Amino acid sequence: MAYLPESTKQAIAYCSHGIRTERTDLATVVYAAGPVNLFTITGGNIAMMMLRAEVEVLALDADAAVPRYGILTAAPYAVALVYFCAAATTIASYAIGSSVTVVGTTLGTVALKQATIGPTLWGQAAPIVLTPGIIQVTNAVPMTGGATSIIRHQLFWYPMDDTSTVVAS
Amino acid sequence: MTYLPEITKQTIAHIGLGIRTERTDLATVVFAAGPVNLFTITGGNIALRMLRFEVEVLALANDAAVPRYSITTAAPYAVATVAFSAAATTIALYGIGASVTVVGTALTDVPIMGATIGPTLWGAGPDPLILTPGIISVANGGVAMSGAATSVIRHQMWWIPLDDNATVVAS
Repeated sequence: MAYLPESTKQAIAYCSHGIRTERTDLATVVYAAGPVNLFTITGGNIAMMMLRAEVEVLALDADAAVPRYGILTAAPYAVALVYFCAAATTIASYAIGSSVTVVGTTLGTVALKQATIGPTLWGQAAPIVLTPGIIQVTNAVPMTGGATSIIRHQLFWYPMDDTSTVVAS
Repeated sequence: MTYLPEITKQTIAHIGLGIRTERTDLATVVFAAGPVNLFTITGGNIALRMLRFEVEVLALANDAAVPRYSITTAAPYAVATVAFSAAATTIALYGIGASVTVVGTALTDVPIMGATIGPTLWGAGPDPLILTPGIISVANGGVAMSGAATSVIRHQMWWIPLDDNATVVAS
């Protein structure tokens, strides 16, 4: 097998899974009641290939957080927060490595929760087309404990228009 | 995360989703009774990964348009117009950002309607459609769209060549 430089491996991943944009936040911040802004889409539509959150640093507190993801559309589209998944069931006490993944079979499919340590299923059944706006997470039961728990959100996407791009909000 | 120039992002998208070819038309023109020519395939077969349109500029009128997509095959194939979707259900009053996507699981699948503002389902089936050289067109079931004169429709298709020299241009 040929040696692959890091940049080549990343380029392969971008072509295969989509461009990766990510952010890390304290769990108490990103899983406040919200809506909390995660990623901003500008310039045109994107194909969201996967959106997932993973617990890092410290297991989550026993707060019964139920994250739900949506997009706040921007002009010229009608401005509205439209969810693209149903709320996950509680992620209380999720350990490091546990994850939540948007599924995308329908816009009302419950996000896939994976409490298993180690292997997790891919989760996203199909891409979702997102117009310009801000991807947000809301949380009917805000997370207040586990002050140093960290959540890393990763978004894998392809531009569907010239100049479509995504940045962490 | 490395910085990616625009051309790199577009190249990644071409590899991941397929080559994108698109066109914009007034709704009253592209959704006339038709058939209206959209894209021309020449040089060989293509794999159609996705074909969708989106409403832009102004919401559609209350005309009960029901677009259906076909290909008119070109010589050396027998020249015939063959539908690769059933007619969509009505797109009357679709707002900016609403969309219709060809599914392609079967040639008679009703296109998936994305009336929701904002997020829409991918819609295209897991496998692409193979299209021979010809012209992709849309017909409208005799229900031509006549209102909302400034509504604009953008059709986008993503495709991969299956032969040397296969290519697609807006008709």
